[in-house]
Amino acid sequence: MRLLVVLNAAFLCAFAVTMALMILLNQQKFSDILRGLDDSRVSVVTLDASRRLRQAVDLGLPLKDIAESRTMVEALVAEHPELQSVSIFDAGGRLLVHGGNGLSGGGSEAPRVWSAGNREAAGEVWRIEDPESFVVGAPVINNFGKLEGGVAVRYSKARFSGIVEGLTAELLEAAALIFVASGLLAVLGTAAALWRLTRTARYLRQSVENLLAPDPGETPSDTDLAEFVGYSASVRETAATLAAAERNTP
Amino acid sequence: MSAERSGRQRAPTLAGVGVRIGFVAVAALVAANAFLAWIALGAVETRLEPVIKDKAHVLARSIANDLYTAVRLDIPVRGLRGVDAYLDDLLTDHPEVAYLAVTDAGGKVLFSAEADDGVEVSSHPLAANAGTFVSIGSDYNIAHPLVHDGKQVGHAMVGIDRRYVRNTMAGIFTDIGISLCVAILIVLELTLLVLSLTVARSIGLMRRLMHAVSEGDFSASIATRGRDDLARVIDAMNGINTEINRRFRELVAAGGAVERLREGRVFAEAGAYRPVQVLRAGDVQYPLFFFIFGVELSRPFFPLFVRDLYDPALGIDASIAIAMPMSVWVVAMLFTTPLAPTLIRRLGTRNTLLLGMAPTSVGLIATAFATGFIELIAWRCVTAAGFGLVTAAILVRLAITAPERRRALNIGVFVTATGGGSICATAIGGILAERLGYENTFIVGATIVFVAMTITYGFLSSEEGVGTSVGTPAHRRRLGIYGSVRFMTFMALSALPSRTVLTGFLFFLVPLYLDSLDFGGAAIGRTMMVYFLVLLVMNQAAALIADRFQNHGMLIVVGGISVAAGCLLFVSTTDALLLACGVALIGLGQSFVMTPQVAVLPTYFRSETEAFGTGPVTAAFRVVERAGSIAGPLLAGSIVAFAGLQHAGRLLGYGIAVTTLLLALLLVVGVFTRRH
Repeated sequence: MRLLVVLNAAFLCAFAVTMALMILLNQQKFSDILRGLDDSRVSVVTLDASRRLRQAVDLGLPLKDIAESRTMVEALVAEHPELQSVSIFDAGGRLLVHGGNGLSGGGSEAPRVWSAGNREAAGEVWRIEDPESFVVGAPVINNFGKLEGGVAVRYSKARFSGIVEGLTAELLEAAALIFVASGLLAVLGTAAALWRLTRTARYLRQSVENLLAPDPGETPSDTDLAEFVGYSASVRETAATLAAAERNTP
Repeated sequence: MSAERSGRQRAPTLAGVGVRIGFVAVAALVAANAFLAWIALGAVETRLEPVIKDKAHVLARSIANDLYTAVRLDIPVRGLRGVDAYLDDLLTDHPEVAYLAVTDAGGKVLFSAEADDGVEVSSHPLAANAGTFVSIGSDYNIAHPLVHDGKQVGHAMVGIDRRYVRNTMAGIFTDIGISLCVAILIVLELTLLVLSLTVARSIGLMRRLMHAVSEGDFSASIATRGRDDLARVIDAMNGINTEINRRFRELVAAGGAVERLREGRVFAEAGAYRPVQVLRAGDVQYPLFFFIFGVELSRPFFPLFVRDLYDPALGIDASIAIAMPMSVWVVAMLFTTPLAPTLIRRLGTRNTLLLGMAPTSVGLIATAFATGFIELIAWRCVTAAGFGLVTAAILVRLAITAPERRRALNIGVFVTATGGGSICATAIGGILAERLGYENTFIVGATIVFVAMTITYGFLSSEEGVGTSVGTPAHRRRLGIYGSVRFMTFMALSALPSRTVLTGFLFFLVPLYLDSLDFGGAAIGRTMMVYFLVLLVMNQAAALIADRFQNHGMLIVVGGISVAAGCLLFVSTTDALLLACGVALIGLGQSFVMTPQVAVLPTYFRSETEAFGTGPVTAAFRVVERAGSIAGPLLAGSIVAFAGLQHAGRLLGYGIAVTTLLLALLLVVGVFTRRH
């Protein structure tokens, strides 16, 4: 019984560690894919907005005077409820149009990191993370190569974390059930494997206990414990010699 | 009665029980993890599907918006130029997309871009799916209408590869597979550990006691720890001895004739029993396996970890600085290794091992929290000091427990445990480093070393080894061997290069080179694992080949060439499979070199062995090996500093080739084989 408990405790530890590793690997890979897809989708939205603004500034209009900006931002926020905000700002970092949730600092200035990221982006999308959101931005550059400003789209980290946590919870639940089932399988299998060994041990014990009895019976022909034959013969012979000596002692 | 009769059938052998239990455990483990992986894949697909759909909508709308710029100027869609190239560009940016297409109002494909293994776009009635999200073949298709003046003039179509999630998730299947293989190895080790701790030990003790009683010795007794069935058999056997001794003592007290009884028999006349002990080499195999597993967990990323802590203000070149902790490790080991025999004699094997494992565990934790380069070096010294003491103590324990003829088998226990531990560690260490970070992987390593400490505490008795002496040669005699030119030439051409390549190339250069090729931690671990795997499999085979052909010199030369070829192949490719082949060649070469190098010492250096003894010659060989281990990373680091990673690898490869060819030449001439 003790052997069964010790063996299975060790196995269950190994099972638990492997399953934990499996959940960790799946969770990490899933969050990588999800993050990549989210980022890619928001990048398409951001680049699209930036291209539409560029078409307007290419006609010579300054970014602040583009009438379409407001409707475009409102339409984006309405179409994509998962976006926290869409902002258009000029090259100096002044917020021109903002839709969705307000920025943490409020005011009329875009966060400095946005303007810096926008300047360094060299026409490509730029990405920034703050404690609550992921930010994807794209610069707006006119056809003379002058940086007019940029578009920044914020989307929530909470939604991302929620999806990942949902997966983790589902996997943990499944793992708990599988752990119980596989543990049961291991316990039953081990018990079956140990059954013959335990039975042989019990029989051996019985044989040893009977050795000093008046009628000890047959000795086991156990090939694995060939020493038992010599052992039992020695015990019997010694017991007999002892008995003879005891009989002769007054 | 029937139970008794069936009990007389052939009893299950221990190996048979082990195999059955191991099979059950491995089957349950594999089934559980395979099922969990399948559930995980389904759960991931379910969650990613709406995200991919959203992305497809956004992309289709974006294409439609771009085309609308032209459409609103009354340019017909089919007349637009460069749309194919535009769609091709978009396709490369979005790996989940199987195809992009623009159709006319009737659904005829005008422009398209398809992924390499995508569907034939023109063969599907795309317009029929406009505005919906439906499945065609292996793709999800989304159509966004192009409308001008209230009239539908075409569609922007996006097909999402439904296998994308499955294919992307397949990237972790290798990691999962490796984790599972490691778990299987661990489960098998655990099975053997528990069986050894309980069944094998009990059966060994029972056999000892039976043998003693068969020889007429009734003075022995076994101390039982558990209450399992085998312990009950032992109790019954102890009971027989107690009863016989009680009756014997009563007989003596009664003044009976005991002379005949004493003939050929030994009794516990004073009442105290002689304890029966079984010292087995396998007892240290399991703690050693877990110890090596814990320590080597950082093997695949250690140079990268050091690189992160490197401080240019120290004025040392980065490559040399990265190499330094690895060389310092061997130096620190040198200080504690000689202490093992003395400590075992005074404190016993168990306490010596615990004394070594404790600083190792502390050192690993402290390494994880090291904030500077000097601090890192200090903690590596602590870790290495413990490591050196543990490995030396285990070798001493194996030497104590084995008779001369079984010494090779006992060394096999050491090789199997260190090899198995290293394979598991390099594979899992890389994965953990990538997922949990370097620091947390060190902590996991320290925890595993703690597991090794617990097993050591439970497995070995505190008295074992106390008072044992292991002969150490006189210092003066030992140093004389370094004056032999022939011996030192052999060392310089064989032992020194083989250790230099191990620490300098495999442990130092390989992780840095793979990192430079953008391999992640898991991929680095997988590649390095190949070395230990080949070494473990080929080590015994190489010994057998060496014994069969009795030509150790040839094996050393073949091994050297294999190592050189492995080094050169490794730095000449960027292909993952060829890189693994390079590492495998190094492992193959090392397995050919390691055993014959020791085996040839008494033959090649007969006069030196006669003059100084086998011990000092072997000890000198080990000292040169350690020197190679120290020099390896520093040499590689120095070459990297001025020639770069690739050239450093090539130079090391050519260096091994040159030393091997020189050795071959000397062997052909008969410098070592001729009798002096």
